[in-house]
Amino acid sequence: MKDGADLIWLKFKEGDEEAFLELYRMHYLGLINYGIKLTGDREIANECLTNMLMQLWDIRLKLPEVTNVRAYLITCLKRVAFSHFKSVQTRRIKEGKAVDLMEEGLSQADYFDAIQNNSILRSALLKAMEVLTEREKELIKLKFFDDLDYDEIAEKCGITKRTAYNITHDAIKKLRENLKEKNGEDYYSLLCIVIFLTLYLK
Amino acid sequence: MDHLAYDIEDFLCDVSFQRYCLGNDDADVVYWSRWIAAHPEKRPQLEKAKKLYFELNGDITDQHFSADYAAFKEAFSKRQVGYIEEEDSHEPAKVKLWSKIIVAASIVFAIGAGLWFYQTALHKGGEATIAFSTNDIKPGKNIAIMTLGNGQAINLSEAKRGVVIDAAKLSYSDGSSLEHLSEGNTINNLEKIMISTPRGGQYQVELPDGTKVWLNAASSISFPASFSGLSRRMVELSGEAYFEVTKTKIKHIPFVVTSNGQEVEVLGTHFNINAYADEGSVKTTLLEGLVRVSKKVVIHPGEQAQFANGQISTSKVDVGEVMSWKEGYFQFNNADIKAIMRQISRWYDVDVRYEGLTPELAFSGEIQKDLSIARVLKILNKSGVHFRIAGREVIVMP
Repeated sequence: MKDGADLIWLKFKEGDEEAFLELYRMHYLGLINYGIKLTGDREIANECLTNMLMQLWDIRLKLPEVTNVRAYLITCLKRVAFSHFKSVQTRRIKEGKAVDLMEEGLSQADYFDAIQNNSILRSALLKAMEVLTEREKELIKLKFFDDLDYDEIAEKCGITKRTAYNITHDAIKKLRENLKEKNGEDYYSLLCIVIFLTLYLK
Repeated sequence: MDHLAYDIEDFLCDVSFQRYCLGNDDADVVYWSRWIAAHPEKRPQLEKAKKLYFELNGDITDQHFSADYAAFKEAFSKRQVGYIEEEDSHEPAKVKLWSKIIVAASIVFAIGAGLWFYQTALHKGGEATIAFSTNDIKPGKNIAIMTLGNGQAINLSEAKRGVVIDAAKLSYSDGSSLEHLSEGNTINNLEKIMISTPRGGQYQVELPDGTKVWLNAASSISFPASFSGLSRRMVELSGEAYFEVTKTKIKHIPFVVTSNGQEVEVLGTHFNINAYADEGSVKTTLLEGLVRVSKKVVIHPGEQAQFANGQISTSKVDVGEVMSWKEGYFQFNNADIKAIMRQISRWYDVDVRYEGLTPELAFSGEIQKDLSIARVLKILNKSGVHFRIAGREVIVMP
């Protein structure tokens, strides 16, 4: 996987348009989520991501042969987001929304903030997450929000790939078991929707 | 790995499954789509896993991805074209404001023109896509074979639309005569005549009683050289045909069409019978008058009788869709890919093979039948189905 990513990077540097699109597809989720976390806005994050990749395309011949493409792209995205915010920073500071762009990576606490703000994450799921250990929460975040491979997670956390997989697997199992106990809520909300629709359609 | 033993968390932890959910890797999307088609009993679990995946990843769904990716691709291709045009229109710019404006305007124009040419070229290129360009197949035409009782087979002219059979006299519908008989051979009144179209053929036939029959591709009809003196006008059909049955003058002589074990009895009416063996049932659709199906069920105009395994059911149908083949086009209302490909197979004389998962499609629309196959497939391609042509085989891919 990593070798493949290196190869794609080289092809992209040679001006291979398909390799460039492949970079987009491979890193989309991790980058857009990172951008959302930085900017607090999906649209702006997407704009920054597009601008960042277009700029890289223009200077592709001057780019280094990077070994960790993801980390490189994340850094680039941070720069683009930063320059985007520089122009609107004054306003943002006034609104108290300025983001510390120098912050390295995201903690799982940030993750919960981020997914709570930006996603449809059910409160039931958030509650269920409370039963997870810190390590489990972190791996869930690395796997799903940052979209890292098990290889990358293993490296980052100093564990084996197998362990990374097992912890993630068990964490999800725990989450689901916790959700099941509150299954009744699903029926309740369904009932609410049905009642609402009946009233609304009349 | 045995995916059948997968539980929700196993799906969720599978990187390939994650890419399938997000839709950012075609190979994974194809793999899992095929897999779930082969194991529909796992669908509820898979759907739950997919839902949970989106919740955990911060609510970035496959829809977000495909919309963002499409916008990115478009922005990129525009930029590529713009970049080349800018290089071409490189001129030594004067410092004066007016010349700057002119240069800027010409660049804008050049980019615009470039884009326009590019789009046009793309569009034109699209008609004969790489996969099709060398392998195009022409549509069907007016061809049929008439077989006489003695076994003599006559190729009916491609230049004529139809043939008129009137006992001893055989002619084309425009009145020109048909040189058919071997020396000293005449047609006996009771002799059975069969007219059949191959795949990629269609023909009109006027029966001895004046009844007009339009034969669709891969169909055949047999009937006696003369109906005179018979108590029933018996015709056998395989495949599909549209009938405009004439009323007999003095007394009512029923006109009976048998096909795949179904018997349709009429007096004077307009109706269509679709009795292709691969269509699952015999469908009789009435346009005018009244018909009785298998001595039991009477149908009225706009109704269709479906006959399968001795059972008949009726329903209201879109007559336009049923009759579109005769009017020169295919019309589909929420047709699935297999139903569409069966028609294409018959009209273009191609075999159809499905590679991988059969794409799920509910296609609605009209396509002219005189288009080459590449153009027809191109239209279907816009609904997300992919095709490859290899010789006279069309391969359908998801």
